[in-house]
Order: sequence, then C-alpha cells, then structure tokens
Amino acid sequence: MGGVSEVDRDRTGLAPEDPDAPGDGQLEALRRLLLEPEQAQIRSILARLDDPTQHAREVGDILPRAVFHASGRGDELEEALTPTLERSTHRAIRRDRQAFAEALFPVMGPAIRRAIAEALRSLIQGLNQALEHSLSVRGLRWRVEALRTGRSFGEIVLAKTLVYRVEQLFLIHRSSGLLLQHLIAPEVQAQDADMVSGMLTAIQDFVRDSFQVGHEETLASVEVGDLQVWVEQGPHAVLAAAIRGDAPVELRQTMREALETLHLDLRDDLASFDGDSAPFEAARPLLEGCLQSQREIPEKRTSPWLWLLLALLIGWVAWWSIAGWQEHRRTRALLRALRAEPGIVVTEVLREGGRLQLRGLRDPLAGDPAALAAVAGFDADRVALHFAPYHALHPPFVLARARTALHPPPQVHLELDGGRLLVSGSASERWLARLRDVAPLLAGVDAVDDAALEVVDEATAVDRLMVGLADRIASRTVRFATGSAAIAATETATIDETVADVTELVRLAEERFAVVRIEVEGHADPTGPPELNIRLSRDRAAAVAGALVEGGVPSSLVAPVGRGTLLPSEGAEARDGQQLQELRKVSFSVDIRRLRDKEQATP
Amino acid sequence: MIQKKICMVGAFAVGKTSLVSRFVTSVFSERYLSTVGVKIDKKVVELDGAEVILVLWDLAGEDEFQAVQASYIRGSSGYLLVVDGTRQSTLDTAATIRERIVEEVGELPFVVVLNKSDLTEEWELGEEAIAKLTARGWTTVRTSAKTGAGVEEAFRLLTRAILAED
Repeated sequence: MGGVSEVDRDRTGLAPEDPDAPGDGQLEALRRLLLEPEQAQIRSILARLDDPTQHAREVGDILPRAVFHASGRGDELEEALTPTLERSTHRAIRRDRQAFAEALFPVMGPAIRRAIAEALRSLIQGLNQALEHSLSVRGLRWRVEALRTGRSFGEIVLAKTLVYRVEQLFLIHRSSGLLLQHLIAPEVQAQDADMVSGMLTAIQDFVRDSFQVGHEETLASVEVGDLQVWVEQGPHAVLAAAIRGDAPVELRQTMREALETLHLDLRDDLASFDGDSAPFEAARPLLEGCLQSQREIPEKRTSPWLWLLLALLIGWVAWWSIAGWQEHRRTRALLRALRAEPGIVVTEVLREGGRLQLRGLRDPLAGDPAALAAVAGFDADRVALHFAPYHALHPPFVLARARTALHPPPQVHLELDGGRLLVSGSASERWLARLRDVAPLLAGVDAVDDAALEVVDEATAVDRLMVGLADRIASRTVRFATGSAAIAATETATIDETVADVTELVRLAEERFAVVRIEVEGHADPTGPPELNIRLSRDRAAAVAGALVEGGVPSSLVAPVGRGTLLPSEGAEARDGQQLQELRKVSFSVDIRRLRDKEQATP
Repeated sequence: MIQKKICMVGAFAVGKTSLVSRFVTSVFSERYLSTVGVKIDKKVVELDGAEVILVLWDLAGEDEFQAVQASYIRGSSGYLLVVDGTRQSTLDTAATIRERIVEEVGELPFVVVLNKSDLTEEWELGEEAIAKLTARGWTTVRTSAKTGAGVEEAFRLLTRAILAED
C-alpha cells in the first residue's frame, strides 16, 4: 500500500504542472474519479500550511495543551523557557519600572511591614526579658544555673518560662530509620539528628520485638523527666517530636494532620525514597506548624525596686507638701501676727529664691517684726524684713510719743480722746507752758485739753513730785528665793527703776532744801529658825542697799535693816508657796526731811 | 545529600564495634549494644567527589543465646558481614546471618570484613577458604581494628556497591 500511495502522490504532484502530459484521457478521468476527495484534502492541507495566519491560529489552539503535557515530563520545558522568560522580564522592567512596581506593591508592602514588625517585636521582647530577668532574685538564680550548666542564659530563661516547647522534630523514613527532615527550635542544643533518628527507629523496633506487639503497633511516646518524645506513625514516615514541658493533646492532632498531608503531597517521594532527602525540603513549611511552644504568662509582679522607688517618691511628695503646708501656715501666722501688731503695716508679701520677703512700714515704738517672725517659726535666713519707719496714729503710740516729748511729772495724767490730748492732775506753770508749746506739734494730737490740770506754784509742784516719787519707791519690793540673799536676774529692773527714782528724788530734795533717807528693809519667810531668818533678812537688805549704792545712790542715804520674819513662825507649813514668796523680800520706806522749816513731807 | 542505612553484623566478639570506633561519629555509648541490641553511628564516605552519609547500625553480636534482630536489618541498603579471622567458626556464623538476612529482606550489597588481620600468628582462615568466598561473588576485605588497615576500604567498597545497585 505504502508503495502505491508514494507513486500516486508523485503523479498527482506532476499533474497540475503538466496537464498535457502524454497519457490516456480515460485513465486521467478514472484517476480523477478515484482520487478526487484525497486531492481536495491535500490541497486544503497545503493551503493551511502555506497560510501563516491560519497556521498560527492552529498552533495557538493546541499550545496550552502542549505546554500542559510537556510540564508533566521532566524539566525540559522549564529549561527551554527560562532564558526567554528572564530576558523578557528584564526587558519589561527596563521599559516600564512603574508598572512592575505597581504589580509588586500589594505583595511587597505587607511583606516588608511584616518583616519590620517582626524584627521590632523580637527586639522589644528581648529588651523586656533582659530587664525582667536581670535584677530579680530569680534572674540571678538562672544566671548561676547558666554558668553551672554551660547553657546560655537565654536558653535557661526560655526553658524556665515555657509551659512547653517542641524542641525538635524528626521526620523519619519508616523502614530505614533515615532522617528525611529535622527541625529544631532556636537555641536548642541537639545531638546529631541522623543518629538520633536511627536510634529512635531502633528503639521502636526494640520495643516492638521485645514485647511482642503487632507490627503496626508503635511506641507513641517516651518520657524522660520533663522531656517527652511523641511519635506519630505513617505508612512511610514517622514524625517524632521532642517536647519539653506539658504539651496539649491538640499538638498530637496537629502532628497527625501534618503527617497525613505529607503522605498525600509527597506520596511518590516517600515510596521511592533511596536515601536522597532533598525532596522532603518541601515538607518543612508543613512541619514548622508543629514546632509549637507556649510561654508561661508571667505573673505581673512588680519589682521591689519599683516599690522602693515609689515609696521614695511618695515620701518626697509627702515631705514636700507637708513642708509646703507648714511654710504656708507659718507665713499666714506671721502675717496675722504682724497685722495684729499696732504700728506695723505689711504692704507686700513675696517669695523669692525660697525666702519670704516682707515689705511695709513700722512705727519705731511698735514690736520687733524679727521677734514675731521667730515666734512664727521662721529662721532668720528664711525671711527678709524690709520695714520703713513711720509714725502710727494709734492712741498708745501717740500717748507714748507725748510722754517722751512732754516729760509729764508723776502727778500728771495723759489721755487721748480721738485727736484730743486730755491732761489732768497737777503741774507747774512752767510745765503747762511746755505742754502748750510742744503737744500740738505731736503727730496724732489735734488739740490739747488741759482744763482738768491744776496749776500749782513751782515749790508745791516739786513737793508733790517728791511725794509721788516716794510713793512709787515705797510701792516696790525686791523678791528672793528660799534661803537666798542673792538678787535674782528678774529683779534687776526693779533695782534700776528704784535707783532712777531715788536719784531724781535726791535731786528734787536738794532743790527744796530737804534730805532724803531710804530705809531698805529685809524680810524672811517664817520657815527655818528665827536666828537664821534674822540674818537672812539682814543679808537681803544689805544686798539691795549695795545694789542701790552701786547704781549711784550715795551710801549715806541708804540704811539697810534686817526685820527678820514679819509673822510668827507657827503654822508656817500651812501657808502656801505664794504667800511664803511674798514674805521673802526687801521693801523700801522713804523719809524726806525739810532742813529749813523742819516741815515734814512724809506720806 | 544521600543517606544510606547500613548494618554491621557478625558473630559475638568479632570486633565489630572496635573495628569502626575510630572511623565513625558516635554519640551513643556502647551500653546500647547490650541493652537495646543496637547502636547507631554515622560515617561520611566521600565517593567520586560526592559525600554519602552512612547511618551505621552496629548490631549486637550473634551467639548461641542471641540471634541478630532481623527487624533491625529492614530498610538497610547494605551491610558489613564481620568475621574474626582467628576463629574459623565465625565465618560459619556469618554465613548463617547472611542467609537470614536474605530470607528477611532479600539480597543486599554486602562486604565480608575479615577482621583481626594483625594477629597473623593465630590466623585461621586459609587462602582457599577466602578464595571460596570470592568465588561465590562475595567481596572480602582484610581489616585490623588495631591498625585501622582496610576499614576505610571496606566502607568505600560497600558504598560503591550500594550506589551501583541504585
């Protein structure tokens, strides 16, 4: 048949070129009759082959199927296409970068974000842990353990804070025990996985052989201390997980599913495994799902350092606010005291550099603001007082100023009623003149009313003056401690006043041709023997007389007398301390004798 | 990288363990041999520029009380059949073991290792016995655990035979 069709085609080929070729017309007709359908087919095929458009369309129709078919047969197609694809990709990028960037954007963006987030997260976690573990007692204990065991500190921390962790995963070829894949958690120290894989398989076999279990029965788990090895068995491969801690039962389910998926995906590679583990790289992503761990949720225990810090802070704030409050209270107390003090006006209160600054006016007769500040609790260096002098118009100040300026005799009484100075008592003509001259000039005195003042002659005035002085002197007493004749410090003022009065009295007496004699009378309380009391009273009188003389009183005018006890000693115990104290004293009596007319002017 | 499981079998005290101890990477102690009956070591053999990892199952020696566990052989690509050259009887044991292996898992590449070659005085295996082995198509290597002679060669021969099978 082949031979015939060969010949036929040759002759058919000649036919159009040479229609007048020698031959029988009938034969030609017969040939046409017989071969017409085939010739038509041939013509159509030739036409399709010669027409590129038609040809391309037809190739296009079968190309996808051809590629699909070719990809099932080795790498030929990939190898053939790779250079062209690479070149065209390069060209496309060169031509329009933007289009490529846009195409990749939805993929690159999330990928980059995820990578950055992951890096940051692990950095923060690391820092957190470092802080958390570096200062606590537990942290120190772990450091010691790390030193002792030679493991890294991070590893110890991880081991101690993990509820469980799958440390290693072995995907093992079931019949040979050869390792197909090995996954290891970070920072886990592992033995040679190839050998461990073999040994695990050997132990499986050993258990099966030793305890006569069925061939399909397998060791599901091994437990040593806090380490467990969970084994999942598949038809061709075994998945073993080395787990530290207490893993949840769900993990076994995860392992089983991974193993099943793996058997499905790598069915052929598993069945034909001859020692080349390369195809099982593809199983890694699947197995990574089994490399689980769960960390202990650390108790949110606050470090004792933080408590200490907090306590210090609270202490400081408390101290600061208490100090502030006290300062505030002190300031208010001082201001109240200053405002209550007549003759002091506070105009400005400032706080500068931690110091209280007070400005205002002060009458020279007013109390000392520094003393008031001390009473309020201010140290001298914590308050600065700036008071300008002025004349206050308070009646006591006006009266005080009037007394200083007028030197009123003892018989004169000054009083202030509004702006009016009321003068009563008796005085000489000369003093009245002085009053009338000076008083209106005094600040705070608008008018002087001397209607109630009795004007006496000069001699009478002096006499009255002397009587007044004598009365004043006689009204004084100097007090003593029990059994003592020493003048107490509290009594020196009385002595000084007495010295002044006596001196003035002596001067006036000379003016009026009189002699003054001061009798200094010592007394003792009734306790103790009378002889002792006599001596004590005498000593007391002598002490006061000495003091007067020392103050400038001529000794000839002073006569000390010991009076002993004024009261009988009986019942002395019954008297109270106050009454006894009043008995331990020195009193004065004054004797004035006129020389010229022998007239006595005694009170 | 290609991995192969190979076994090392032989009669009791033919020196299997000491034969390889200097040539393999080991993490397990020899106690495994007497307890589990097997100890796993690892040997990397370089052959024609490619590395092959041999996971070596050192099986407890066979004697009248204890037979080599056949299940350990399963999955092996080949084995070293170790004979003590100073004890004729160990050759018979080796033959028995081989028969059992063939029965259990079929024909596998193997190399007969004639150990203790340094003990020439006590050597019992005559040339004709060895020639008989060779005649049966068995590859033999004389080794000495003491000097290390022939050990590498034995591994290489076995590896080559295994790879030729593939």
